[in-house]
Parts: sequence; structure tokens; C-alpha cells
Amino acid sequence: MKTDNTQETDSIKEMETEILNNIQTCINCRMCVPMCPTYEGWITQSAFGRLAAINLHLKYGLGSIEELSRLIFSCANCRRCQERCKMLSTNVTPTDTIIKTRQLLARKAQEWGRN
Amino acid sequence: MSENKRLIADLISIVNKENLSADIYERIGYGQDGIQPDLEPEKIPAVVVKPTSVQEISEVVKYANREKIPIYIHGAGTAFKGSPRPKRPGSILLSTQGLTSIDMHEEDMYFEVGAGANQYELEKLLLSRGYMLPMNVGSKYSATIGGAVAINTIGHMVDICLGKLIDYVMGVEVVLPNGEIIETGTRSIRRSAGIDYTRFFAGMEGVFGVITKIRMRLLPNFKKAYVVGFFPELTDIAHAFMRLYKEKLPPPLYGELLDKKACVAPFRLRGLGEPKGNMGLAITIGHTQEDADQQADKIAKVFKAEKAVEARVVTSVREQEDYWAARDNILNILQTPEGEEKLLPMGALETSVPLSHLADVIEYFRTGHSYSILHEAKLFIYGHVGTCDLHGLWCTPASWPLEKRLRCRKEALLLENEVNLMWGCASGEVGQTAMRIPFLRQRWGEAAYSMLMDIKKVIDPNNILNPGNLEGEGYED
Ligand SMILES: Cc1cc2nc3c(=O)[nH]c(=O)nc-3n(C[C@H](O)[C@H](O)[C@H](O)COP(=O)(O)OP(=O)(O)OC[C@H]3O[C@@H](n4cnc5c(N)ncnc54)[C@H](O)[C@@H]3O)c2cc1C
Ligand code: SF4
Ligand code: SF4
Repeated sequence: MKTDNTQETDSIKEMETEILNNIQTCINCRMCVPMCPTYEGWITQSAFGRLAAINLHLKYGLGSIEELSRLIFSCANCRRCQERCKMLSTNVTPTDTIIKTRQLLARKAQEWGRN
Repeated sequence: MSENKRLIADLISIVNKENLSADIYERIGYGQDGIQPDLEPEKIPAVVVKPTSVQEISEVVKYANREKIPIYIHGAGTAFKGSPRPKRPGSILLSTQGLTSIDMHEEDMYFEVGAGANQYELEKLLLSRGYMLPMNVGSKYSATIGGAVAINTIGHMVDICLGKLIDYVMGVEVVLPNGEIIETGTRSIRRSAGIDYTRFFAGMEGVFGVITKIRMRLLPNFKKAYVVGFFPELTDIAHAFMRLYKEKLPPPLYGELLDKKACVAPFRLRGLGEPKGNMGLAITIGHTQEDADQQADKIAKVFKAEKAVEARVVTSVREQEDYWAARDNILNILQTPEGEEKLLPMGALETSVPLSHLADVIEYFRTGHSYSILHEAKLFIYGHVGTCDLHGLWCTPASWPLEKRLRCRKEALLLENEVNLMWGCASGEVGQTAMRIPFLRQRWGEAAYSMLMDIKKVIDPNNILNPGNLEGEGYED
């Protein structure tokens, strides 16, 4: 039987897998960049930039979790990228993926607090 | 001071601090190119710079040349044959997106545009003044005009209707690999005969210089008419376009084909219902509406004569937009219905073929070749049939093992080479570097390739601009 701790770890893993599976369908077309209301000329201020950062952070541990949090929480959650990706591209559901990553980071923070 | 810190300090003395980033996540976002697998961590560029003037670009390039630091030139990074992808560690990613000026010179029938201007924004401006942009790529909402000129693409348009992009480029401003700034071409609509330096840069994929400004001929917009046809067989559409040219009808601005399978998801998304067959589309142009309409009527007749179950001129603006959006946004085909497994676009092939072999090539994509993984994957065929440019996209379920998916990608590339070699052609979009270099060497031979590499050595002796691209680094056989 699993202990509480391994259940937590499992669900973190599952969340990560779900996020990475979604990002895997992103074809990096950047159609979601110019129309993002937080975009002021730098790629991380867009859905694509956020997804690219999450992807390599989760896969290779690149960058700090604080910096990743800053990117993820600076999304205004307006869903414009989501609509655009659906109409012009592959329907990665970028906003949902960003929100899921917020939940993941919160979960990880909780876990660290407990340990 | 670490090497990286010195690099950044040196670059800050050239470009404004706000126009440079050494942040890891910016470097990942800029370094990642279109469709490709993830950027390898060791290839992530050391720094991203976005100069706002040709002088700044010149200083950055001079510095990199002196210090022998690789530069990857970046429009929007959407090309998917590996050209904007950094291949060597410790590079400078040079974004042109700080160069966005547009100056209209209507009295002389040209405009000048910064290489980093967005294609869609440029097109909007031109349309508002009664002109058109003689190109249309599927990524126009994100891609730059400099990126398109660097690979000389007109995207979905028919080459023999209005010509290739280079036919509109009257001249360019370029920063050479040693940092010198030069201007090429002319301000007259009469183009230079013989030597025209423009050709060293337009279509050369950034290996000889950084294009900073482009002078392009203004093209007054045309009246348009739209035709749609649904056919029992995909090859019927090929025969329709073969017949159209045989009958010496004027080439349409667009001539597109989409197999029935590829219509399903984009149609569903736009409420177009079930496709009635494989779809053929054409847009005709004329100086008057009557002229465009007459040509459209003739194409609809040709469609019918080639077995279309339905062929008509589309007059409703909503319908025109929906059919064309279904074709333009082809990646919608990856949208599987709720509950079905996601598809990944693993093998993409793009090849241009002789007119008389259009139908043969479609059959070859489907059944003629002997690549086993491709036969297992789900194939969608679409393309710019009016300009003899066909695409095959082999998609695999996301659950396939990575190795098998990568094999699918490899096989599609091998098939692309095979088709182009069999019919003596070349791919007509997206550019040749870096993935297509093995093909380039086979197709035009080692003597031609050595000539190209020798020219590169003379122009860029330290190989700082897009190094690894002409070498096909990372895409060896
Ligand atoms: C969804 C989608 C659809 C697409 N549809 C098409 C299509 O229909 N037809 C087609 O041809 N392509 C297509 N592409 C590929 C690509 O988007 C286009 O070719 C586009 O025009 C490239 O522009 P970019 O600004 O992204 O260039 P980048 O990808 O940044 O650069 C392309 C190449 O040009 C070089 N380069 C860029 N700017 C300069 C410059 N100023 N000076 C010198 N070299 C430079 C780069 O180093 C690189 O080698 C598509 C891509 C996607 C993702
Ligand atoms: S539009 Fe969709 S597929 Fe394209 S970069 Fe954005 S999230 Fe990825
Ligand atoms: S949801 Fe977030 S990432 Fe998407 S467009 Fe809005 S602010 Fe940008």
C-alpha cells in the first residue's frame, strides 16, 4: 500500500506527464506570440515562450523554479492564445497547460513545506 | 570575469541593455525552432540580442567576427527545416525583430521595410493602401518578411502567376560577416541586368549576410474570385490542374488540394460539415471583377470535366474565408476528437514535381514507396497543386515509442529526397538548410556543393553566420 508521501509524488509525476504530453503537441509556430496581452517584445511574455520554458525546465531542470513561477504567474489567463492555437494550429490548450503548471508548482511548494 | 559575463558586458556596450537577454528561458524560447524536436541544452544560445539599427547589427557582427563567436540569425524562428536552430554552443542569437520600420514610396512604386517586420502586419498595411504582399505563408501571423526573403518563399501562392518573392525585391541592405554595411539593387522598377548583388542574399538563408532592410516593388491589389471543387479521387484534382495548364488558361493565384481525411478536422472546426470528397481550391485574379470571375468559371468547368462531384464559384465571403482557413491552417488536422489519442506530426515532406507527374507523385506518396514506418503512420496529403508543390504529413499516435516516431521523421525526409531525385526537382518552400543539405549534395553534386562552400569561405572566413547550416550539422545521413 502506498504511503501518503508516495501518493503525493505520484500525482506530481502525473501532473508533469500531463503537462509534457500537452506541450509535445506544440509545433512552435509562435502564432500565439504577438497577440498575448503580456507580450512586450520578449518571447517568455507569450504562451509559446512559457510553454518552451516549462518544457525544458521539467525535462532537464533548466532555470530556477522562482523564475519559472514568475513567468507562469505573469500570464493574465485571458485565453486568447488558447483560442488562437485552436483556430490556427494544433490546439495545445496553452492556457490550460499554464494553469496546470501553476498547480504543479503550488503542489511542489506544498511538498517542500512538508519535508 | 567568466567568458559568458564578458560576452554579455561587451554586447551591452553595443546594444541597449533592454535589447539583450541572457535569461535562460528567453534563450530557450528563441533557440527553439519550428516543429523540430526539443533544442538540445548544450545548443541553447549564450545570449539573445535584438538590435534596433543597422549600425548596432554591424557592431555585433564585427565583434562576433573578431571573437569568432557563432551568430544565428533569427526572424521569428518558424522555419522547420532546421535553419534557425542554433547548432554550435555559446552562440549569439541575433533577432531582427527590432527592425520594423516601413517607408512607402508610392511615387516610385516601392516600399522599404525592416527585415524584422511581421508579414501579417505588413500585409495589412499594404492592403489598406490598395496593394498586396506577393506571398502568403502559413505562419504569417508570427513570421518576419526578412525570414521569407532569406529563403525566397511565396508560400502557398502559384509561382507562375505573379513570380517568386525575389522578383519583387529591388534591393537589400545587408551586414556582411565582417560587419561592413552594403546596399544592393536599385530604386527603379527597371531591375539591373546581369550582376545584381541582391541575389547573394535573397534566398541564401543568411549564410552570406544579415539582411536588415528590404526594398520591394509595390504591387496593386487584384480583384479575386474563388472556386471550390470536391472530387472522388485526389488524383482527379491533379488531372484538373494539368488540364487547366494544357488548355492555356491563365495560372490562378492559388491552386490547392486537400485530401478528404485532411478536410475532416478543419471542416469540423468551422462548421463546414462532412467533406464531400477531396477538396480542390483556386483563387483567380484579374484587373476587373469580371475578368477574375470569368477565369473562375472556366476553372469550375475544368473541375467538373475532371470528375468533380461538386464544383462552383464561391461568392459568399464567409464561405470563402472558411474554405481558405481550412486549407491555410492545415495543422488543424492534428486536432483529434475528444477521447481519441493525440496525433503528432512526425514526417513532413514537401516536394515540387513536373506538372505531368502530379498524379504519379500522389500515388507514390501513398503506395509507391517502401518505407515501412510511413506505411504504418496516418498520411495526410495537401499542397499547392497549382504550383506543383505537394506535401505529405505522416502523423503518429503520441503513444508510439520515441524511436519509432523519429524513424518516421527520417523516412519522410528520405522519401522527400527520393521523390525530388526521381523526378529531377527540388523542394519549393521553407529553405534548404540545414536538413536538406544531404539532398542538395546528391541533387546537384559535390562540385556544385564545393563551389558553394568555397564562396562561403571567402565571404565568411570565420564561419560566424549560421555555422553548421550549410554543413547540414545534426542532419547527417
Ligand atoms: C505553421 C507554419 C506554416 C508555415 N508555412 C510555410 C509556407 O507556407 N511556406 C514556406 O515557405 N514556409 C512556411 N513555414 C516556414 C516559415 O515559417 C516561413 O518560411 C517563414 O517565412 C520564415 O520566417 P521567419 O521570420 O520565421 O524566419 P526564420 O525561421 O527565423 O529564419 C529562416 C532562415 O532565414 C534566415 N534569416 C531570417 N531572417 C534573416 C535576415 N534578416 N537576414 C538573413 N537571414 C535571415 C535564418 O537564419 C534562417 O536560416 C511555415 C512554418 C510554420 C510553423
Ligand atoms: S499557437 Fe499553439 S502550437 Fe503554436 S506555438 Fe502557440 S501553443 Fe504552440
Ligand atoms: S492566457 Fe496568458 S499566455 Fe495566453 S494570451 Fe492570455 S496572457 Fe498570454
